[in-house]
Amino acid sequence: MKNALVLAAALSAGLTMAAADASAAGDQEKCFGVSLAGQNECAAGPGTTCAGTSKVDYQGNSWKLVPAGTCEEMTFTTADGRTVHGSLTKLDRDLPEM
Amino acid sequence: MRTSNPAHVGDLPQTDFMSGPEDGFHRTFCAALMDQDPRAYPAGLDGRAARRFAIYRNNVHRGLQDALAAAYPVVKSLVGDTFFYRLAGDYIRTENHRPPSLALYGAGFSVFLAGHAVVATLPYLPDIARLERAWLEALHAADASAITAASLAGFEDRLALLRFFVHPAVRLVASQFPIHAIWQANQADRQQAEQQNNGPAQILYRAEAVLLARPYYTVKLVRLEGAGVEFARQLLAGQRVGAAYEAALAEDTHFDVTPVFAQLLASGMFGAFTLGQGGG
Repeated sequence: MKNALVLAAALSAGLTMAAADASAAGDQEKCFGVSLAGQNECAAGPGTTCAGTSKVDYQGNSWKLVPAGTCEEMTFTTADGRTVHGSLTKLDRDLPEM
Repeated sequence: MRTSNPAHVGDLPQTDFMSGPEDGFHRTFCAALMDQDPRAYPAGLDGRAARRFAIYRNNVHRGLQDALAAAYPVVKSLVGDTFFYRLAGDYIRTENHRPPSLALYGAGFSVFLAGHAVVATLPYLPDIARLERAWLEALHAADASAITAASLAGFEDRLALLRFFVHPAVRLVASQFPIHAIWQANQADRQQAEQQNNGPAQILYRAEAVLLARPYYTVKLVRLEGAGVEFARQLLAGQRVGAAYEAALAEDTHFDVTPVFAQLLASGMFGAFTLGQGGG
């Protein structure tokens, strides 16, 4: 029984130590609709394979990695003057013509 | 046009590269691509076509060698570019069963190295290759969420009873050589720092294991030694934390579980947990 208490204390200390390790937190998130044409990291959808294949600026279905928590605060002005935001999920705007 | 629902590279079917379709011409074509004789060409081609075949063959070989070089940068840096490409040239004839995507090409490279004469002088080389392969597999593994220390809030008094489900990206590579230190010393950023500071860090000759995890988008390495390796192994096998601790303690009565448990938890190696029921 004494051993079990010692182990419980040792593990609990480990838990505290792990909580203090900042590297455990999510460092980046996938942000849709913020990458310039050809600079996405993946998932640009039909007609493309993957990284670097988005066809238009701020393409809604391609994503880029950004620091966690910053995606939805991002705003951009498109060439035709609209203001667009980043999103953690796929967007229907700014899709390339098929 | 590609499908809108891309398969994961790890899920692609294995293709028998050398036999291909059940077609005589395809088979002789593929066989000639990997022939020991660089002048070999498939029967039925005339002289001009044969010269073009040699160009195609060279491109195929170079592509496979480049894929191997990209997958095993530390092995390449340890043996040098020239020798690496010679090794790769020999290796590509041995890996006939491979996924159609080059992203995961080179699965058998560590086994190939272990059987190669070069290993007589660099006995740690196959283990470095295993580590690099594990890194590549971790990178391409399916995405999944990982638990953090915060996920265990409320379970502080029952931690020994927990079992973990391991995140799909996790790999464990154990060696009798200091593979973590060798790997680190051959990372570009480390080499730059050494040039600015006081020369290469000393590598202690000891057994090391590396646990690889990729909870988000970056592969993380955790160095494990001694009984910590057994502790990690037991958790990977789905044992309760308490049972894993007992197994590690049986190996080393001075095993300190606190820092190892903290490191493993912080690495993002666990996808979920449960309060253990039944044996183990």
